[in-house]
Amino acid sequence: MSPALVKPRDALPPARVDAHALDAALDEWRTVLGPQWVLSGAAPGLARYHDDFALDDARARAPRAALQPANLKQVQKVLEIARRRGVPLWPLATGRNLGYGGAAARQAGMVMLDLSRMQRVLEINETLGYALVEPGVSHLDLQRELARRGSALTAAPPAAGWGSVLGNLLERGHGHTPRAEQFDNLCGLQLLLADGTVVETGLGARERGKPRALLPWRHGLPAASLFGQANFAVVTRLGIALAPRPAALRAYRVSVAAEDDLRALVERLRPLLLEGVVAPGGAIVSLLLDAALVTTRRRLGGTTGPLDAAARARLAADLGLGAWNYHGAFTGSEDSVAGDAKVLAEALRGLTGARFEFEDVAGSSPGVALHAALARGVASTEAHAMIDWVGAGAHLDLDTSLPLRGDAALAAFRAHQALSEEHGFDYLASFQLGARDLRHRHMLVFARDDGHAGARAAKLYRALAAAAARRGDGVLRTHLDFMDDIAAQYTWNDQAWLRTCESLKDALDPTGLLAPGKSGLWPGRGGRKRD
Amino acid sequence: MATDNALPLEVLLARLATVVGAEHARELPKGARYGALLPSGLARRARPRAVVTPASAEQIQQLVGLVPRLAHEIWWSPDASGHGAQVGDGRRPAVLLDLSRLARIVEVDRHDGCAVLDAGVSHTALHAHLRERDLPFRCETEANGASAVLGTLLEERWSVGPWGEREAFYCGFEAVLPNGTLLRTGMGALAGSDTWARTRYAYGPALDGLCGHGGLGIVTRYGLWLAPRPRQLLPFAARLADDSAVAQAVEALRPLQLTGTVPGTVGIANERAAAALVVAGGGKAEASSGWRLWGALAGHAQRVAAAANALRAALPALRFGDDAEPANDPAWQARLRLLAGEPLFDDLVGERVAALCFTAVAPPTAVDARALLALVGKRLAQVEPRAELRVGARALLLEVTVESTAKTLATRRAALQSAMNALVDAGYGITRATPLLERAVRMRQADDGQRELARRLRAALDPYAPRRAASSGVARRRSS
Repeated sequence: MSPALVKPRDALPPARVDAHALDAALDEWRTVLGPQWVLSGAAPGLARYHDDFALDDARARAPRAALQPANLKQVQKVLEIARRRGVPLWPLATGRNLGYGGAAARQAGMVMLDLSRMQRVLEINETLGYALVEPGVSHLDLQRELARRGSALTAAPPAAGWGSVLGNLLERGHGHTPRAEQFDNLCGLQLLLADGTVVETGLGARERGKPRALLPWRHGLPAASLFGQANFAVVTRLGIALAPRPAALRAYRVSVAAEDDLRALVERLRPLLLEGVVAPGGAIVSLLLDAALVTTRRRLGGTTGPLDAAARARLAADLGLGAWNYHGAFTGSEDSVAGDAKVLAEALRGLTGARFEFEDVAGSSPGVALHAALARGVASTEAHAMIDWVGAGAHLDLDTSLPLRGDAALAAFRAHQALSEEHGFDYLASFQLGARDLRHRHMLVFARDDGHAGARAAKLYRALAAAAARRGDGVLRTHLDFMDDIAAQYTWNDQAWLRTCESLKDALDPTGLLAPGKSGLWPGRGGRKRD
Repeated sequence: MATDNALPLEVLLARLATVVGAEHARELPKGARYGALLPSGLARRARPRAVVTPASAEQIQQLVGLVPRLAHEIWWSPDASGHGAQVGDGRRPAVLLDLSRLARIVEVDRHDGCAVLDAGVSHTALHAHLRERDLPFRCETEANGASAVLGTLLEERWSVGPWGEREAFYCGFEAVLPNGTLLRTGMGALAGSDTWARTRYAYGPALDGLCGHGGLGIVTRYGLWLAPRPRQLLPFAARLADDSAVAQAVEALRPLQLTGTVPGTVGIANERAAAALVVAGGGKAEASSGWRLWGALAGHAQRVAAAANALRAALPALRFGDDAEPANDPAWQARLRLLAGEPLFDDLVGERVAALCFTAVAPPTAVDARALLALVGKRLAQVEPRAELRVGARALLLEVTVESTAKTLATRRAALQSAMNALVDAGYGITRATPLLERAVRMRQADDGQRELARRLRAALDPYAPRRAASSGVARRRSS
């Protein structure tokens, strides 16, 4: 089989929808949902469905209409009409997946299925530690509801808490608590297949079933795993595991002075991670990513290009930051936390220039308060400040995974920094500790008010992604514009993974009704985008 | 009867031999292995007609194309040492793929404990590999070290201790799908990636679910995260007089497990289960009544001490370390070895008697523990069940095993079926069962939506899938 055909985003044609069929469908949807929940034509609300951080003209991907159902029954009716009229839909939870495409679809002319009105927290089970939520519930919503109930439970929110809990988990976002791997917190889904079949995964499949959100997806009937980053169904409800607040939590930072110390820092942290002294979710943050919380590139003066090494060293000294800053937290009892701190201090001994400080000492330093809050499961929007590094900011995120090894981290850093500077960008990134890997999250921050910056960011992104694949560092999720490119990187055994996904797509959504092109998965009918 | 119109055995074996060689395609042995103790009529219908031992994924790919064309089902097992390999469901003649020749330990990374293993690697082999190379890691084990690591992983059998929730430690499968595709899940789909056994979720849909209970992939290789040898391992134990004490213990443990103070799982076994472990290991057991709770804490000294204090406060009956149980108690000695990751025995022949088993899942609360034990106890009182609870942070598993001879099989099977039905009707789940029991309960506990999803997944990947929805989901299955 030949390699996938990589099409730049602007080569994608608009969604093929018969105008008469769409008009007829819109009439039917208005009857089902009420006219105020069907946006089309010049409706002002339709402008919301775009990518806030588009890499070119956001209007080029404008949808034809948006539908806002309020419950499962309405979603079923919407799908029935779409199926009958042959109008594909692009489901959205809240559309706040910034850096990955926001509230846009892959193609222009799509009809958006906006689930943000389904925003009930259906259950919080204090005894068993889980919540059942609808797609429109954000991490900030969930946090407010937990507080209102006086709950002892916390979620694991991402850095920006305004996004959907369900969307973040299904897109495999990461939190910052020990339960950072959001997908592992999945405890049951309610799915609506394209033909209208409702599927409850796990124990939810039985009417008399005990708590639906009892088991992680890996246990028992395993269908739930298929629906992350997928377009096989509309997900209308999520069970998510929550963790009780620990008796003691102490946030801390370890900073190292030299960029090359990244290697030694990873090597020292790895055994402690395996042992459970340091937890998954902590992040080794680059100097500029922490600095961007409190300053901007323009404020630092000098040329407009990337900061050179001398300027970075001055900035580190001014802000009390290291070249790398590991933000973590110990949790447990007071005694166990004290023991953890002792073990970490011992492990860092001999690492020249390393500083290990608790939040009460380093609290005023950039990033410490933010990461301490995230480690406590407190959602916020504070992290958004970093995108203003280059003016009216936007960001494009590249997430890759690599082995939990110092040399691998250093190689990735060096490659990304060199390519960034070559393309005129500063390197703002973090290495988050996974259970057995590192997640390299590189934020390509660019200025929205610079007409060419988005295109330059896209060019850099492609170069970085290609280099990462050559190193064997796989991309974990991506922006709408690059979904075909990234899917095409997964080439083992003649693209067995992609071919299998396409078979599943054809079986579960044979007419390509749901999110065509999502994650590089196109429906078979009418021809795939790749040969 | 399923085999009446089947291909003559010698023809079947000859065709299978074209793939694996004559010495690796044979009639099902008459010995104890593969369930020969079952009544002859039932055994003839339910047992696979032939067993093949492929040596590679490529041979398995050829077999999944060949066997259905010979009008046979494929059963597969990592090693055929467990309960599941003993019987099929008897609807069609079957060929068993025994993967025990796929026994290579491909890699154990000295730094991060990430391993890549072939499907047939046994607990004993992995344990020996770690010990001989002085690798600072351990692996959860089964009493029978001959059993495949993959088998217990896919069957979602929890061990006891800080790493007891086994399914949390696999990372990536290589599997042959029914359509012959060799698939790698996770980062295995990225050619040249060094993170297949390190990053569980890669890009796009995660296809792992097809391979486990999904039954749509014959797993040939997989990634496994080994735990580091802990600085301290502190075992603990308690004797619990009756079901009520068991329920109270479950209630006391849950908050400690949810907060991670006591990570992993705690075991609670009835005395019959405790004794069986001793006998199976070649020892002699004393008969007594009641339940035995056991587990272990791991980590650095202060973390272990803090957790022990919390446990003492919650469960005053607990004893720790050398005081946990009498040193000369064989049941305790067996459990200490298991907690240390050591198999108790290594027996490829497997159980001398046929065993029927199932695992039920419930919320880890006192109410549910009491209900589980009552539902099962009432229906199995006459069949001497071995019962073991595994208490985790978010689930309570009840493993029930009943030994059976040819004479008692029918009544015991009926008793277990009755217990499983009662559990399902009360809202509990069954996550695992002997194939003789499984199909009925699977159909009973899945709703129409889940059955439809299963049918479509199978239709997508299995060119030989039955077309009728009622027959879907279990046409080919894994056993271990």
